[in-house]
Amino acid sequence: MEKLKSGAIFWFPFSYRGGVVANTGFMLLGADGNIFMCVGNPTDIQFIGLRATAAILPDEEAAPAEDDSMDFSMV
Amino acid sequence: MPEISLANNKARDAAVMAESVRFQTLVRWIDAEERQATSARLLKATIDNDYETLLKKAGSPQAVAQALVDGDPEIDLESACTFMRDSKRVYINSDRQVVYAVTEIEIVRNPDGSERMRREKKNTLPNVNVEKQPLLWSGKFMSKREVATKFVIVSKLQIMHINGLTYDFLLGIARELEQKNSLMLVGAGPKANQPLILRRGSLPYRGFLEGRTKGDEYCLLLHLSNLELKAPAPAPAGEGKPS
Repeated sequence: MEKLKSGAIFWFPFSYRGGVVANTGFMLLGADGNIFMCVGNPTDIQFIGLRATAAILPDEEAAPAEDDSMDFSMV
Repeated sequence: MPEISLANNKARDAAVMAESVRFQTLVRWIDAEERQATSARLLKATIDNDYETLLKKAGSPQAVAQALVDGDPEIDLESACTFMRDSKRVYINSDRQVVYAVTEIEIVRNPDGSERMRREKKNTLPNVNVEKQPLLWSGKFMSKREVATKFVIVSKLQIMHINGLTYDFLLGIARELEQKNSLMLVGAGPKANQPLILRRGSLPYRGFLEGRTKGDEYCLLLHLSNLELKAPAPAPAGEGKPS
């Protein structure tokens, strides 16, 4: 608790359903004084130089935002 | 992802790209022949073969059970297990007919999950693209710790340049944010205080812009949040207990 109060954020593998790949759990002390566990996934972010321009693609606005594809880690 | 219009602290704006970041691939699924396995959507049954239709035809659950024992009325061999591509969601009424004029109702809930109000869902329009006002430099900075302990970051976008001019522009923004060691609150509208709507009908988000640099390379991240890290208030004594 003392470490949480000092601003430490603990992270650990977290898997609610089990499976091959765990998510990442973060335990931290919220601004309201409660302890929270947030769950997320590490993402690939990259530093970009001059040559790496973004691809200009048409907006995918029309595409439905339905993502119910199967998660193989649940198998 | 959308092209967005972003302004720096000198009120110069430019159109840049906001790209989704990818999850790290730690495990790759392959089949017995070491080919990449992918998700596919298969048609299980059509509405003509589901339980309600079978019940209507048979008359009783027992009769449906007997029909299932006697044959395969729930399977249409012509359509079952066909691959579904380019499908669209439709709404049906209580008579199981497709309806075309739908009023979507939004249910607003309290932090404890109880319903607060119902209202007609607004068809929100994006407010970050180049046709709208650019996302202005709000000048409101929050430490990373403050953001992490007050908000749940639910998504993030990486801001990328599209040409040499916008490279210099974004590198400058990233350097400034890195020097401040803070995230800057990003909002839409003339006062930069409105939530960000990235797509038509999408959720409104608070945006927090983070900048990092490494030599002449930069990393500009727009963290998105629509949730405060706040525990619900405890229910009054006696409330929520079984009577």
